Amino acid sequence: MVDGFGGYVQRHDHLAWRELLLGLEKMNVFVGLHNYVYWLAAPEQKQLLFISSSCEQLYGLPPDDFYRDPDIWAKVSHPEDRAKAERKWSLFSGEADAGAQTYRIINQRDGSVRWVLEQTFPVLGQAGEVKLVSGVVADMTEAKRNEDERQLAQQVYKAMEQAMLVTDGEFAVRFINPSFTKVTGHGVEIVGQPLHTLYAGYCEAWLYDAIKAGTEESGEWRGRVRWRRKNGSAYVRQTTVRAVSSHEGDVVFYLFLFSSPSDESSSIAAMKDDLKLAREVQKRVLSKPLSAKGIGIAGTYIPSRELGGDMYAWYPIDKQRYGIFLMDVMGHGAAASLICMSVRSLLNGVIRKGIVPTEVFRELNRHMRQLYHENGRMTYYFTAVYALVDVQERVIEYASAGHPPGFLFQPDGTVAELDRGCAPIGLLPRLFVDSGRLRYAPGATLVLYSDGAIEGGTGSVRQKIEAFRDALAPHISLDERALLARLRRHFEQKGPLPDDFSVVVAKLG
Amino acid sequence: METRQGAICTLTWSEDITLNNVKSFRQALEKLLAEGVDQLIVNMEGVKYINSAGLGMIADSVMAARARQKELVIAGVKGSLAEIFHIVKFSSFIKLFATEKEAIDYFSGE
Repeated sequence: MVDGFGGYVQRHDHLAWRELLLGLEKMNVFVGLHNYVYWLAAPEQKQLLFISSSCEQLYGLPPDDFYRDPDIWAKVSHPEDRAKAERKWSLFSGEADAGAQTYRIINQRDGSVRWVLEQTFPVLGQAGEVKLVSGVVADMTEAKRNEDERQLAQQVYKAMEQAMLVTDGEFAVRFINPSFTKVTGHGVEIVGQPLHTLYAGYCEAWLYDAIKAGTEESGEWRGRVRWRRKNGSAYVRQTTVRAVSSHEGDVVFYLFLFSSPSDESSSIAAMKDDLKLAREVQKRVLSKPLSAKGIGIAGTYIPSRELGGDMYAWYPIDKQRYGIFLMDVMGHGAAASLICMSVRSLLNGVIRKGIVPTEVFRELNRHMRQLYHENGRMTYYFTAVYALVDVQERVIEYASAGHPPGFLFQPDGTVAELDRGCAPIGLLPRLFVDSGRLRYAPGATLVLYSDGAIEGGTGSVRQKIEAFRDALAPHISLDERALLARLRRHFEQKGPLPDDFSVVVAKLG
Repeated sequence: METRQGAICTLTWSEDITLNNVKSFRQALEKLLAEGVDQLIVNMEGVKYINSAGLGMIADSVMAARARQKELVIAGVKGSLAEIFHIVKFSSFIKLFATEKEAIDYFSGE
């Protein structure tokens, strides 16, 4: 090649050009290593003066073929891109600007089509006229393929009906598709935020650990995850997570695919059946109406749309005393319901052993702290009211653990509130219970309720409590079952309730 | 928003505490607890409603502060917020003040 090149150099008598071309040939080694092709030509005749030996790799032809054949550029160019390849000559017909073209060539050895980026530069004479044109051709095939794939991937992501998001290896959100926005309401503002911003479950660490362990083991993790929409509502979706690793084996991305609601219709139907069953079980553990000398007790319970944490129960303790209990676990859902059931299983023993409100609440608090208090942090608590009714002495000893105050309607029309007690059960390591004591006259009515009875509508909490009390007052002479039936009708008219609603009425003789 | 005045650090929270922001509230409380001062105030003057999870977080933070020999009090407890705190009997274990000034005076021993 050097000999051939020397021959071409000899035909040009300008010393400066010769020096330049010789210098370029020395550079050829450097250029060739980097898969670039360097060329130099006289633009008017389209005569190639020099081309680096790396042309053999890119074009599949040795440099001599380029020197001999003036139509070589047209031959190596892809038929559809010949005009682009020829444009480099016209660029220098009048103006001395640099140019760049991306077009396809055909490797003459293996017939493969390759994308090249050709950048051209003028070599100016003393008067500033274009004497020569130099060019650098880079193989862009791989980069173009990656770009095409990226564009394709982007189009697929956008068109996908399945919601998806991509996080980096540290679980910061990097990309979401339009379906994700449609399902969750979250837009680009979520990009850069940690994944747990979107999580509505109870333990973020669990989610990260489960995904890491699952993807490390098999490259993929699947599970039902409770996510949160932008408006705060929760939704549960079967979620598939795939880890994308770098060449070094480090996880650089996690791809989250959320199954569409139609994929889940059968599992949702199954889950609804389970919820229905769970509600039924929850209802069945509620105490049945009790009628005895000096007391009649009944309750009603209207569950909210999801499983809730309301529960009531009563127990005859001895011949003259009855313990009446009503509780409401914080939050909703299966967790609240399960806590409710676990307390229910303890309650009989706790009430029969403790009997008085102070002891009953302390014992329940001890259980809650033992069962649902993790790493020094409170995980669940419940509010409750407990009334110990002595039908012989006509005395009620009670305590309210952060619960809305119950009412004692006396036959003379006065109403006392059961507002003494303590903080909710499970919040504090030790409870200081300030129990209350009320005397009642024959014909009095005790009403205990959960906060579902005072939710919705306008006004402050206090106003809602008073409104509920005033709504009960005109019907308080009804027997316990008739009064509850009336309340049920009233609340059922309101449609699905945002919270559980439960009321216990005790008619006291 | 957190401000520091001498040995007292105050977190001012002005939004109702609901499902939408309860996590942010928890993070703000955790940050307050991590401050290098022993007297902490949560000013809730602009809050009219707090859900059960938010109440739990306040109780939890008060106990966590005690465990670290710090004291956390609540200021701005008025109107409907005062009614909620009354019902859940929070005054039985947390110092509640109607204004931030009263809370500062309490820490200053006035």
